[in-house]
Amino acid sequence: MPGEVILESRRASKNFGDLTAVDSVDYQLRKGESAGIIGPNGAGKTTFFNILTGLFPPSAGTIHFQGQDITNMSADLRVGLGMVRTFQLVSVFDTLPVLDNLILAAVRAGTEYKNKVQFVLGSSHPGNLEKECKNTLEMVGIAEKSRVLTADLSYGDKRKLEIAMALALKPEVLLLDEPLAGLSDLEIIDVMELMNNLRGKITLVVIEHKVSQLAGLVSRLSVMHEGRLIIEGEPEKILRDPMVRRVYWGEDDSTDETCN
Amino acid sequence: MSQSVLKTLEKFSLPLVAAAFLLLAPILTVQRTTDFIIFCIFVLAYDLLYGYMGRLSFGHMLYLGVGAYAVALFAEHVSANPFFAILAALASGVAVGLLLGPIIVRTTGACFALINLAFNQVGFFLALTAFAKWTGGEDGMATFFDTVWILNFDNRYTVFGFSLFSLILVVFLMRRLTMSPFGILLRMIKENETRVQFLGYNTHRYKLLAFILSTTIAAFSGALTILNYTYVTPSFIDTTRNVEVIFASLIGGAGSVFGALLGGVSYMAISNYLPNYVQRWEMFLGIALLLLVFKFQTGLWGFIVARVSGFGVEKDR
Amino acid sequence: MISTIAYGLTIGGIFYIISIGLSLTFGSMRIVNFAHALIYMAGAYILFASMSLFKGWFIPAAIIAVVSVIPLAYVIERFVIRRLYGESIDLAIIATYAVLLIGVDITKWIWGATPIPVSDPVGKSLPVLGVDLPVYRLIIIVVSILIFICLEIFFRKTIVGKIIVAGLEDREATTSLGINLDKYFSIVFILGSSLAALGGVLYAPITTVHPYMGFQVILISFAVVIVGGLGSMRGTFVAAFALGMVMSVTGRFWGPAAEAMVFAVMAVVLIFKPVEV
Ligand SMILES: Nc1ncnc2c1ncn2[C@@H]1O[C@H](COP(=O)(O)OP(=O)(O)OP(=O)(O)O)[C@@H](O)[C@H]1O
Ligand SMILES: [Mg+2]
Repeated sequence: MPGEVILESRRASKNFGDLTAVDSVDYQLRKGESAGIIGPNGAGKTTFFNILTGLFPPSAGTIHFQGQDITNMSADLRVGLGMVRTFQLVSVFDTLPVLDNLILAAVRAGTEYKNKVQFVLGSSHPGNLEKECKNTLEMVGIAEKSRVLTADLSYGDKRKLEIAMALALKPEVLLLDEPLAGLSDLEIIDVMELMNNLRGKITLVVIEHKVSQLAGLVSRLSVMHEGRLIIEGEPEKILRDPMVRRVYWGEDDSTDETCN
Repeated sequence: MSQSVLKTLEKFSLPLVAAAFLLLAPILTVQRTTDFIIFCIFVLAYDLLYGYMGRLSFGHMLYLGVGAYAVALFAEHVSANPFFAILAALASGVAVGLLLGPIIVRTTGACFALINLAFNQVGFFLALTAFAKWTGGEDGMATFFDTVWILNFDNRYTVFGFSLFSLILVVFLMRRLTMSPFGILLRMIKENETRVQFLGYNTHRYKLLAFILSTTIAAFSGALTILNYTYVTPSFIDTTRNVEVIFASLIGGAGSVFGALLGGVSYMAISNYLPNYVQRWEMFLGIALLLLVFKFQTGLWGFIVARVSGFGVEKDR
Repeated sequence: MISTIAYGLTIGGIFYIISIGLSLTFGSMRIVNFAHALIYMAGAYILFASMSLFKGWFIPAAIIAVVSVIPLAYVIERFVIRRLYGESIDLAIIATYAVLLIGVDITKWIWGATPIPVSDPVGKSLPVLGVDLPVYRLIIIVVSILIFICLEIFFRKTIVGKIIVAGLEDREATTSLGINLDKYFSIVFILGSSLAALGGVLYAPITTVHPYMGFQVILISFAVVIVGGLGSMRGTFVAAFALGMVMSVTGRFWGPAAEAMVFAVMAVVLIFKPVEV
């Protein structure tokens, strides 16, 4: 069912001084699939996302999007290609009202502003754009808070807002870095439902420590350890793999649920 | 209910601003009010960078000076038509922004502040020494303008009217700029520039645009300054004067058009009248700045908004 | 030509001494400390004041100048800089500028605004390659190199120095080791301030002492820090001498352009060096 390769890293590495945070990772993502990445703290998952999305270039290796080498492309152009991400520590704009966080994302993805002059001098909340943003907020379930100052949102709502920002960009590939971290049980249900709805519609990559939740969501699981991608495959198989159990839970196989 | 007061104020901002300065004129004298108006334009230019985009410049007098000298040089060598001279000033504002902007906007924080200051110092040197043959060095240049149609800029009232008209224009422009997607983008850059890149925007380009807009409006205020004074000297762009506009931005409340206007008027009122009573002007400025930084960060406009909209002033501290 | 080089090295040495403190506060707190200019100026004025006390005897006056800025630096650090932690960088910059303004005005209050000349404390010249060079300038060059060596030893060999270097490189990691960096940065601040005062003392006989002398010098120091790299001690050393040479060579051909040339060099460096500041 998954289509051709859409995003790919070839022997991508990233060093911070002496530390090799990502170590020649070969990774392929097929159009329409949902994939998960797990691994203990400090395994290099976030760093891998960072080089995929262009926060910084890899120290070695290349990144390809739909066959095009994007290794040295800036982050904003990658967003233009349809690669959108969220951050492990929620990153929204606290000083703006909730709705304003979405406006620029919607503008970037849409066609409301035909030219730069309109972008610079036109109103920031034309009716249709505002409606579109409200719909996106509706999707993540915080529509009633659209006028609230973002700083006043709970952490969970901020997370939902960040996902809404990503969705407003109409992504082709969506990379979520620990979308469940720091959420209450109820909020986890909400966000899981949201991701389940996205499954199949867009290409989805999720880093998550809550492995049991992730296993139900994705069709392929990759495990990172000390910068390397050590194994990948179907979630059930991966979770039963002794090597994975060893690096992740330290040998014994008592529990399924993990740290935070 | 009280929110609606602010709403009304926003809605009728242009006539209200005009009315306020028309009322000030008989109280302060026309020439002085003109001074106030021109300074307010400068503060608005400054606030686009500082208040909205979060970039503190310590060298903005340079951009004002570019406009002033452009007018003077144009009037002397090309044409004494004041309107063409102003156009020349605007063009120079764009040019200096295009020339320095690509270097300057790559920096933030302390570097941004000081690199502007360094260029300001170079500009001062150019006006005072290097180009003294053209700028008249320390003596500066005097200018005379032709009368165009019925607009004779030797007449105080003409200068006043024209400056007020210009201010209204700039306020209008600033409101459009800051209420557009671009305005949101600037505020986002202030808060977290990297995150904006992940919304798909090339932030460098927009920072450069904001910088050029700021230098151009500053140059415009410089052009008006010379219409008002009919001369320009290097002291107009003395680097130590940058603190004036910073002070105005802070006291008014950074990041709002009304705050900038309030700050411009407040600073001008203080600097025009206080030195008559206070011997130690710099010390006063220093202490006042410390108080603003430590106790009154929202500025006058922030204070008023907090009061009017009923949110606790206590909430601040 | 020899004298141009010697002059370049002399002011380079002084720039180095002054820029250390700026570079350290820049590196540790990311703020530009305008009050540094005040300390520098205070050093020069206190030198002048105590010279008359010691009937023109330079060395004790210099020591008094350098030592007596320490309480001043402490007060500034304790009551302004430290309170600014966590505030926005912009407000911190403005606050230190406010301190400079107040200091300048107090100086004018006490000593007036007229420039004060300080005479060369050595007064002798030494023939070097057929050119007479003032011994005093040679001493400055030697002193600045000595300071560089001492600081290298301090930062690389002593515990306190190593902690400070670690803190400059990675604040979070160092604090997470349970080290109270604030205390060490206070030491850094006072050290940098004393050196600024020393710079003012040493420079005073070469230029004149006046209330606005700090404004000029802080800009040049800033250029030194940018060119040398934020928080890099060796970079600061090299950049200070390089810019000193730029200034003296430019000054030889066209005096007034000397300072502008320094900023031009800085601009070029900024263009070609990606800054993450
Ligand atoms: N900007 C950076 N500079 C230096 N070291 C870094 C940087 N970013 C990450 N590292 C280091 O790289 C390693 C991998 O970090 P990374 O954040 O990618 O891990 P992770 O798998 O996302 O872990 P977690 O599950 O805790 O989020 C860690 O040792 C981290 O300290
Ligand atoms: Mg991570």
